[in-house]
Amino acid sequence: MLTLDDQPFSQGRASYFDRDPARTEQTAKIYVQVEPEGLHSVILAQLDTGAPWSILDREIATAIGAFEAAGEVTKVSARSSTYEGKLVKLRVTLLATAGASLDVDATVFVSSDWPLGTFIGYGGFLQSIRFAIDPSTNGIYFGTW
Amino acid sequence: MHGLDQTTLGWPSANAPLPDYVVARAWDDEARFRGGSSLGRWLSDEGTGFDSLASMRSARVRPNPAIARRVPPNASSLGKYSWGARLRHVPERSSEPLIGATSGLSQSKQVGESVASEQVQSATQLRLPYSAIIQAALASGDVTAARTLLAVAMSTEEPSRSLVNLGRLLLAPSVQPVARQTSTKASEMRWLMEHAASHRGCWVALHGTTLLAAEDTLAALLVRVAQLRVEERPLIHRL
Repeated sequence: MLTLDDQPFSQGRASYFDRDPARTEQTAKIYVQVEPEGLHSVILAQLDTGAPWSILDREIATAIGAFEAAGEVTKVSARSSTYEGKLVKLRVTLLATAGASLDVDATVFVSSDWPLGTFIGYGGFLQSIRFAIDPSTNGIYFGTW
Repeated sequence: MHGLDQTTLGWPSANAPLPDYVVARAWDDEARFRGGSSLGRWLSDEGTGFDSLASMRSARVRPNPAIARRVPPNASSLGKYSWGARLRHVPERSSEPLIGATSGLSQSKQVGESVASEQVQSATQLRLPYSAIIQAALASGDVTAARTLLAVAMSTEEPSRSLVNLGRLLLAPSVQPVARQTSTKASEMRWLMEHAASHRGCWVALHGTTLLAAEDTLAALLVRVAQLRVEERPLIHRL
């Protein structure tokens, strides 16, 4: 694990993927393994520090009952469109391949109109996590403080 | 400053049912209401329409529920005069702190968020609970203002349940390390790369290079996976 000033910086490490086989995007991204509470399966989520919230794929949100959870109405703009939905609390596990995974009591945006897959955003998720990227090995290090 | 000032707001008599209430945002020239309805023009107590955002900001605007009720639901003629964020029923007595003319505004200025300050000014005019304004900011997608207003609200008064719930959504989440690991999924990714074209549009579940299931919908896929009783969590993906 990483240290900073002789202190532990991270508790977990994972490999990330830099492309989604389902998409034809020309630029590299960062896809990490996560497990939303209640799904009992692992999914890939795009790490996006510019996203205001983490966002769930609408079919996944439906499968775990996120649309029925209590929440607050809001909207998110992305790629020239605005999507109305709501913010809900959901435990999402950021999965490690070495060391400790992280259970995050995340705030997640869900919208029945959202067409762009699953994202891990800054607000309600990454803001509570230390993380570092190693592009030379496609490694991501993460932990708490 | 607690409770609604019915004289100032021009509410109907105490025995009359309270109408839906409009949380207004003077910095929006267009907004949609939660629930899909909209009000058309927003009018003052005197029935005055506003011909510009500037005049709305300078006017001492008071909501007029009687006028608001006359507007048919789902009207879509927002136009440039309209402003607002969401319909809300405000009880006669609120257990939440109302935005004060001094404390909330000055703290907001200390935070340095001009947008939030403008919201506090608007809220001060309308004497609304903090939670209503924070919800209105969220409904319009204004996360920064919502967070700033929440900080002001939390530092001003004992938080109500609705403010605590908003805090759970807006404040930094709790994180707990857990002793759990997964495989790198390198084999699964290799399979996805090689077979994406032949399964385009499908949800697939993989364990290593083994395709556990492929279905058109996630719901169907999860049923299939549950029947298989696999020990390790599979990787699922839509191609």
